[in-house]
Amino acid sequence: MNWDQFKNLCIRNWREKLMALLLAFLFWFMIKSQIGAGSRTYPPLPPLRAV
Amino acid sequence: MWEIIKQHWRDGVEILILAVLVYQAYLFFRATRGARILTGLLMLLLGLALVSQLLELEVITWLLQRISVFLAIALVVLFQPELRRVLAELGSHRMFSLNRPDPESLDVLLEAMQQLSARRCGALFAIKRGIDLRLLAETGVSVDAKLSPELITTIFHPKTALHDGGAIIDQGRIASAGCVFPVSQREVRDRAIGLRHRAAMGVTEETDAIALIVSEESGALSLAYRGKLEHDLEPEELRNRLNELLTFGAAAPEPIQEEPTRELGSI
Repeated sequence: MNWDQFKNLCIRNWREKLMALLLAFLFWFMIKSQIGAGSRTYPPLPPLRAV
Repeated sequence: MWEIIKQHWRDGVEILILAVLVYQAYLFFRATRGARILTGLLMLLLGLALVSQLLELEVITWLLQRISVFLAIALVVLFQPELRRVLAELGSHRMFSLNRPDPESLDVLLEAMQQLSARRCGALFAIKRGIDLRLLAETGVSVDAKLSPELITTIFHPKTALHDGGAIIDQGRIASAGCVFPVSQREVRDRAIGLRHRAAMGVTEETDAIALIVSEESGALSLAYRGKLEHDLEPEELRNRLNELLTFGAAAPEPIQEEPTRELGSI
């Protein structure tokens, strides 16, 4: 692939490609935060008091 | 800077892979019947998911997680024709589809198309490549004859029994004629595009065949490949495009669009 072909590949449908990148980032962000929430460690509960 | 790159290069690769997948999905689904539904659904879900993540709305997050399974099944049902096309294209890689007719039979076919165009006789051909067209061939009448302009013009003469269907070309021979091709459901804005053109788009959506069309109305020559219609081509233009597609297959360069309406079946 020469430089012209590479440039053409980047320029063609650039709006759609930018939108795809944005959507990909949003997907990635959502999934990443889900994974983060799943593996979050909570502090231990306080001991129960006898009534 | 170097530290940030070292720490987050995996994230970058992940986002790039996702972006390629999203862009490819867009290319597959654009201009299809379900494209608008998909866009609406995607925007709604993405918006909801983002809001619920940012504001930590647990109920909405829980709801989205639960319905995602049903949604996946619904999407498979909704996009069944498009998914079939994706799978057909996977099997139609250049390596698997080197079934190209010899240049002599292409000349015969193009000559016949020009004769049909001059007489305003509509015609539809599907040139078989890698994917078997037996199921479509069975809907018509088996011919199995060598290509000749006389035979083709006879088949598509309006007073004959086989003229109202498609002919399947396999290795320089007319395998069948009068075949019923699936009609494309893509949105086409041009009202001059009739059922014959839609059938050409349909057969190329579901298989890796190349469809050639002679318009009954205007005598225009068109070509369809991968569900896209290249309408009203000059004979020389058609020959070059056909040679390109038969030589390079899916890797053939996209046609240069002089005017936006010439290539139909895409946004």
